Amino acid sequence: MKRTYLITYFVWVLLALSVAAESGRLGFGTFGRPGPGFLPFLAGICLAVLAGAGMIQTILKKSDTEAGSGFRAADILRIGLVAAVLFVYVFLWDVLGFLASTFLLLLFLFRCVEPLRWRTVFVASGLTLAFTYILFSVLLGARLPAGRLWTYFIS
Amino acid sequence: MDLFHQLISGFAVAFQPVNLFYCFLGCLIGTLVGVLPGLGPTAAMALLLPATFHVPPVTAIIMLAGIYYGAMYGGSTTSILVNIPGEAASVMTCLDGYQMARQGRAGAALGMSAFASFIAGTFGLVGLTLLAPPLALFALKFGPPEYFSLMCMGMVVLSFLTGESMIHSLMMACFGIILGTVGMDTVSGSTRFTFGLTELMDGVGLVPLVMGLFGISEIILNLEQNVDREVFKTRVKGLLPTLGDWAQAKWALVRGTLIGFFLGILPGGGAVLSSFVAYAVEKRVSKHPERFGTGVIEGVASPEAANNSAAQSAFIPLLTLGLPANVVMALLLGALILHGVTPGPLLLTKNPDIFWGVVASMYLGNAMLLVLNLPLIGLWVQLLRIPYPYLMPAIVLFCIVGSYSVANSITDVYLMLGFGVVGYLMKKLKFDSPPLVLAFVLGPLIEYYFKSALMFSRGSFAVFFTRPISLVCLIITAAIFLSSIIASLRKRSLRLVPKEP
Repeated sequence: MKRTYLITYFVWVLLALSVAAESGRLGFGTFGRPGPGFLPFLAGICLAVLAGAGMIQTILKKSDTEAGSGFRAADILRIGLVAAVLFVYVFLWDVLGFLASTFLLLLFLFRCVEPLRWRTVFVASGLTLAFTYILFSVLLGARLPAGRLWTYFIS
Repeated sequence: MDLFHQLISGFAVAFQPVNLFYCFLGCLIGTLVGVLPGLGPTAAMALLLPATFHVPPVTAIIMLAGIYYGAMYGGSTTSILVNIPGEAASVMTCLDGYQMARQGRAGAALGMSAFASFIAGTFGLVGLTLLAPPLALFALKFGPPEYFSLMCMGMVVLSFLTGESMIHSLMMACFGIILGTVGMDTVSGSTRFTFGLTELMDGVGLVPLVMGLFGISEIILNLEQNVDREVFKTRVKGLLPTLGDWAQAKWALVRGTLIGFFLGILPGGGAVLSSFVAYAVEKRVSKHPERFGTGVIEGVASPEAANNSAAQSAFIPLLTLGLPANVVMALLLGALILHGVTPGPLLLTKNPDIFWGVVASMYLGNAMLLVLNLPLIGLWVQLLRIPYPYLMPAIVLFCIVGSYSVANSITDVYLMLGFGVVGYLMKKLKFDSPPLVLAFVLGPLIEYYFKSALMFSRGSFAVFFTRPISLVCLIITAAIFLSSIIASLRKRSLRLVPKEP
């Protein structure tokens, strides 16, 4: 975990310094009239200092007993797959529309993440989709995307 | 108008059919998310925030508050029957509650938990009713320097109390402030950290942030953990605790209530911390501490009283100072602002219907929850039997559609998924989310008060040190910093001392 933490702190330092640099571009203003970059600059510097302190603390630590449960390759693969599917799903909203893409997503989640029988998968997906659609679209009035593909066919 | 009449006017608001309905709905949803592990009250409130846009602010806050304190009640059911806390504040209830259930006393444990929650919750409300008006009056003396120092103190106290590492918590607070500055600066009109995206001009949304950090990240984390749960097969009976149980638990209940009430007011205190402290205190003062963890009724009464009392008293700083004591209150603050209501000392005079309506609804909500949690316990037990694989896809979908429906924006959904992944990594690496969310909500306010104070003093930082209230807050902040550094150094020096063979 020591290496993981060192990489993490390094990423934080980079992020914090980027924020501070961008804040400088925005302008600090004066103490009497602080500009838009004033607070983000201070927060960025504080973040960089804290991440630096964390880095030093990790380096000084002799044993590799840092808190954290570690990452297993199999878990990363599974989680990475689910996260990628979720991003692709949202991307597909624009093309396939909410109903079709959500049905596909639910099939994936019910079947691949926690394998269930196909019949159960279809029934559970249909019911979940219907419930969500009624709740958000019919009752709460959310404008869920219809999908360019279907609009193209209809027109 | 005196306190009694104000409270009566609050009841008049709370008894309006629409408010009564939303109060019941909030309590019902709160109990549901409390019972079902996987979606805590914070994520549930964020999920339902968009649904409240169509109703008046008082109705919205009544429902959202109901979800919060309802979850405190519901969480204990899962702790007692499954040995898995339904939400974080019920962790301590597992220890003795589950053991009582194993000994065939699930009914008594559930009953004591519900009654302790009701009594402590009502006490917390009485405290809120009595303390809030004078505190709001006192808060009228606060100017920008006081608010700035108070907010800094709140964030540091929260960072100190919540996380395992003060450095991690403070880093999260800084990151939260940075995220809070994304979008258009209201003073200069210049855009900050938007990467040219027009969708980010209004800033990062609270709902995608909270839903990602608390909803999606939890689901991702559960993918690598087995969340199989075994519910008690025996029928739950005898929900009324015996006289012996009451005699045994009465002081635990009183102590838990008081501890919860005072810790709930403190920034960073809240329901989770108070239940831990109450259990520890109870064990310390008990004549038979060795029996704790084996199924003693005090071990159920004390943490349950503490978390419910804290859930109510946490409203005091929010409604009187406009300062959230924990992440749930930060979300409520965000909800109030989204509804165009400015929380703070003027809320009591400018919007008394909101203030007293919410307070009165909480009295009603507590009574509703007692009914929901005792006679309907069988229903919750049945719900607990729904396997997690059936729930997970529905929760994912609710989070996605919920964050989209706030502004019908796909960018918000991408942001939420991004925050979900970041939240998962944060959980794995022990970076806490609550300081981030609190700082995110307070960030724009901190910036406003900081700039106002400096403009008022013509650039002199002395303004923060010459005003007594501000100075006291800054001294407390510095003391917490120092104590944290000293504790860390002491821990390190102890580790360096070689162990004797």
